[in-house]
Amino acid sequence: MIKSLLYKEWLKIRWSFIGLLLVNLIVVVSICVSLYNDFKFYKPNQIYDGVLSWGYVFYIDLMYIPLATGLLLGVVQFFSEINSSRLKLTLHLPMKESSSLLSMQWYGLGLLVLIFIIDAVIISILTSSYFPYEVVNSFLSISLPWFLAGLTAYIFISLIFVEPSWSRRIFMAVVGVGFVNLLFSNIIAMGIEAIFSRTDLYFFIITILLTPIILLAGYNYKKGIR
Amino acid sequence: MNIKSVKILLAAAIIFISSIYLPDIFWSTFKYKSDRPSVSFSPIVNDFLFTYPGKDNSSIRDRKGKTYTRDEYEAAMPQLNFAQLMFSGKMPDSVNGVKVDVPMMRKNLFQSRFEPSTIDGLNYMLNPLIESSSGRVNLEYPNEFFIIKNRMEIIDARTNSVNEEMTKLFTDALSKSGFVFPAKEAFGNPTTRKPYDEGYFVVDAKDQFFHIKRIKDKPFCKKIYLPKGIKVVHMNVHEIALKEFYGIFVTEDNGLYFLSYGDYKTIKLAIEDYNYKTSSIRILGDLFHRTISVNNEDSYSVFVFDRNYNLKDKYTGQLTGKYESAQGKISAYVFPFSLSILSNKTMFVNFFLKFIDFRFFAGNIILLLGLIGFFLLKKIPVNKNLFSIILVAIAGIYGLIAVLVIRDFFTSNNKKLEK
Repeated sequence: MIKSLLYKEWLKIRWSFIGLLLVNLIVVVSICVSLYNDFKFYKPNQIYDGVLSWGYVFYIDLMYIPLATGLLLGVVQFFSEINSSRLKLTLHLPMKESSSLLSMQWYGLGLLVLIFIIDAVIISILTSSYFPYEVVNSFLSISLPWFLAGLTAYIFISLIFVEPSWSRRIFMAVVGVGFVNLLFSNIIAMGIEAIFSRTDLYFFIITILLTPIILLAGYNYKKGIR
Repeated sequence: MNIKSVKILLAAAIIFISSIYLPDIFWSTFKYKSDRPSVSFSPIVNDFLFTYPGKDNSSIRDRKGKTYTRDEYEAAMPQLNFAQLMFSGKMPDSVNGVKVDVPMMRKNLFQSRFEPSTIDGLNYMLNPLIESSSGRVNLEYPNEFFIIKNRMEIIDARTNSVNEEMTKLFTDALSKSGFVFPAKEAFGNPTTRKPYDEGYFVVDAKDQFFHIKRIKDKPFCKKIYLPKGIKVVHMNVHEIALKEFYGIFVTEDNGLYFLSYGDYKTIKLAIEDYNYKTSSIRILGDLFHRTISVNNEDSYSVFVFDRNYNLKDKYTGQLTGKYESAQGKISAYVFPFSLSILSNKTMFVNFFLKFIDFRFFAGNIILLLGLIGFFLLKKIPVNKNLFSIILVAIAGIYGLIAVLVIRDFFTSNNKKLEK
């Protein structure tokens, strides 16, 4: 049953997924090209100096891309469920409603993680061809919270769409913005302001713990609580 | 997963997020400005002068309460305000019987700061290996960068590859002087905007201290003998024309030392109330004194040393703490605790929980009575909604928000109250 549910999800969002993947690739490639140009037009030691001493974040264009990706995938996947009340059918499938909702959500999360891994791997390979390992490491540690922000945004979009009550929707949107905003506190005015490396794991766990909240929204939806 | 545990999860998420943002919004609305003065020592009146920043005019006072105008203040501090005094033609020829001139005062003036967030900050440990004796008048930014792991690796930025020849040369020099790899910390000024280069001061794996620099592509490595049991936490390297010291360092036992130039002697300064994890230090050096200000959350201490580093005078002042102000007292009643992920004590994100005292219980009780009143009004039995009651009792305003969002109450006939 889960298999066919996931296949249905794939049919629903495949084009959006491919589109989002392409957008991500375009941004990643543009980061690669601009770094290539930096090394073409400036002395390498100037760029090293910029990165090491002056907080030059050459991958800054990536910052809000995972967030946008998460938001759009969430909208595409869950808006069509709410539109014309298709979710009612999904919740009436011969499987537990909690497992159907969670598998839809985790399927979307999986696709996002796939896109994010592709982003991170390409930029890491590029970085490691120009810089020592320390800079690659700092890229991963600075960008990880941005990827988590993408996942968090997706989780909140999914539960906001399933939630039937408007007042609760608005409130959950506020809470969602709060969570996402926390994950962007490492870069202020294009400079590195804080480092998440000591709390990466905790924020990852927090993100995972946010996923089941969709069940409450689903419960409210099914019971018609407003 | 049953609905009840999801509700607990959601309540936890709401409490988490509101305990971060609500106090934050509160404090940015009712901004608190500290009354911390900046303190300097006047060689003319032989006393501390306290400058309290004000909205229109800052007020300047000495310890006896005598106030100073800006002109009087500048005349009392010729070692800092020589440019202005020269401009207005009031520059004295001598201070306390010592003949002075502007170049001398300029050469002797320096500042240094130690902030907990730079001590616990970002450090790539990857630094440019500047040639300290290039034969050029200006320093040149090198292509070689170094990092000390299990050897002193020298990386050429042009090729992003290890320069094996130089690596071996420097690694051997370090081993020969007793360096234990890898390095824990490296301090220096990775810039060419300085009059000369003294390289780096490096702490090795066994907390020994070394001076490493590059002289005509050859390594210079000198072990620095520290007083027994001393561990260097952070060092500000000063490459200034004065050439009296290499820099200033703080140690794990909260000591402050100068490292004298040429002979590597460590000079301990008799300061108190310093904790490198929480307090910040500002050092002002001038022709006559070394003035050290140690700033703590609710107090500040100032120590004045003569040029032989003997303590000449000191002063400790108390400040009205943030939580003793009117808005601070209100916040103590309203917020049971507050959470922050950023701190000015470190560059690393973490969960910083701030708990003031138990005054918040008064606030919680008022909110709780409000909730019970709401229950009675809507004829909701209190004893069947203990989860909500407990949330508000413990987490106060944050709990109330969670309860109002989840708003899932049991009515008397055990049916869910809809709407």
